[in-house]
Amino acid sequence: MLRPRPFVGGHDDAPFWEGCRLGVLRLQRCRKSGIYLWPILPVCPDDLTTNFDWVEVSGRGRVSSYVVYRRLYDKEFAGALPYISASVELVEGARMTGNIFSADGDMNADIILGPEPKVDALIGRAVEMFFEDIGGGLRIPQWKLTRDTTSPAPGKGGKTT
Amino acid sequence: MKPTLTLATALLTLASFASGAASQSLEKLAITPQLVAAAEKEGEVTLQYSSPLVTMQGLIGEFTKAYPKIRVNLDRKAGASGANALMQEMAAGVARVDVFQGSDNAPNKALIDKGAFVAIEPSNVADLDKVALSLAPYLYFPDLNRTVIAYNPKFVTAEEAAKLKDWRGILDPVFKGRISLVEPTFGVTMAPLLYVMNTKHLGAEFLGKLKAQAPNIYVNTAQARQALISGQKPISWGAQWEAVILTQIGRGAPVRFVYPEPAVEWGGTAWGVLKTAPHPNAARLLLAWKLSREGGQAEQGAYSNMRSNITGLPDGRVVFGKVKAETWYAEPKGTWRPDLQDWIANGTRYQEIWAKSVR
Repeated sequence: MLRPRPFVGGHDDAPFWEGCRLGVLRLQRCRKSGIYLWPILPVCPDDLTTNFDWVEVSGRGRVSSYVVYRRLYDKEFAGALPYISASVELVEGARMTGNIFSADGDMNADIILGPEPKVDALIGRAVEMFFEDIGGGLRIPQWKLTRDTTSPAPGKGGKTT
Repeated sequence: MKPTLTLATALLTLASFASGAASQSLEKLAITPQLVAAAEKEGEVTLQYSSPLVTMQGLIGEFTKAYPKIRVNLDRKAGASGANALMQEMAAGVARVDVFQGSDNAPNKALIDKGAFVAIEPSNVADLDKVALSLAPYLYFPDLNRTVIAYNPKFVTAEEAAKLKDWRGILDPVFKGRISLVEPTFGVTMAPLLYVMNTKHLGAEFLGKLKAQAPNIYVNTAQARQALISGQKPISWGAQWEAVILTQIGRGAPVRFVYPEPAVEWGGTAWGVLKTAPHPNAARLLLAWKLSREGGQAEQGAYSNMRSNITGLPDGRVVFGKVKAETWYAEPKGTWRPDLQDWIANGTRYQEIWAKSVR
């Protein structure tokens, strides 16, 4: 399936993409404040320090917000309509964006939501990260609903700017 | 205090400029026990805003201290994107937002023309500087912004910083590869662009030369501040404003600033109540508070450090008081205010010129 190509090669992003290649979700963690950052930043917004570790995170989280796309805005999503873009809050606290898939791996929003869904049907739903191969040697984190509908505990240690 | 008749006349004149809803009757706005009771009964208000997240959280924290029974839902959509999203919601018949705060005046004016806002005259209108009334009675600018050129003193010498006071100083070869710029889709990036486009010795030719300085171009000002503080790009040009840099200084960030001469200053963000506000009383209370002296004082807190457009309000910005005592600080000798009609009429064209010249 077509996907927009993410920009690779930004400042300090090599450990992230290397993790994706190896099948490990890694995020920046500030050595001083201990918070996890997403997106990748040169300065911790919490304490203004610049020393980080790259740490493997659980890949578990919950949907904090989402939108259903029924119109094509980016031709590289042609064939994927209707699809869901979401903000996922990891149990570690950072918020990441991505598409939502059903527990069976389906990306079609109508299949995921069913007929006449509530507007907030997915808010708080538990998700697990998986890597989607988008070709050209790139894998990106995506989010699959869990069969267990219990939400994981909200994260404490994240920072998303 | 000036006579009310004069004020009403002034507002009606401004209302005719802010076309599209000029026939609306002007609603008087004051914080009364009745308004507070009605707002508390509603219990919540949704503010769509443009200011930085931490700034707005701090400001609303002060509002919540004053009115703890009213929950404020914050929805951040910065610059033109906020106005455009609201326009789409209006077209779809969605009434979700109560109070709007926007920074880019061309889309702000488009919302006025669509009849988005209630025509309001706050009871303290005589205390507001004329820049606060530029889009009255639909939108008010409670605060005054000033463009600064921010630099990291670990990577930029005092001698180099002095060059930045001249608008063309950034073209000095010494700055090549050390600069970041931000897309002019926010008020804070549009205002300096308006100065550039209205100044004979700058204009598109200057923008072309700026490109030759190999700047990094970011899509938002927070990215530029990250690059500034980390030293990756130790000069943030045409994208930062006094208040936000003072806040960073207050947090201990290695940042200083100069005002280019003349310093560009303008009404920072426009606030208004939507006609379709689901919480109309809480919306009015929030706007009335924001335009009051209490709201102005709250905006001077360490999370915001904003200049107020309320005349006679003492400058209580603690961080600014400390900065003024620093040897590197220098007041601007002159200031320049953009013509709002030029912003509204030509803003999109200037953005296109910027994109063609700089990207």
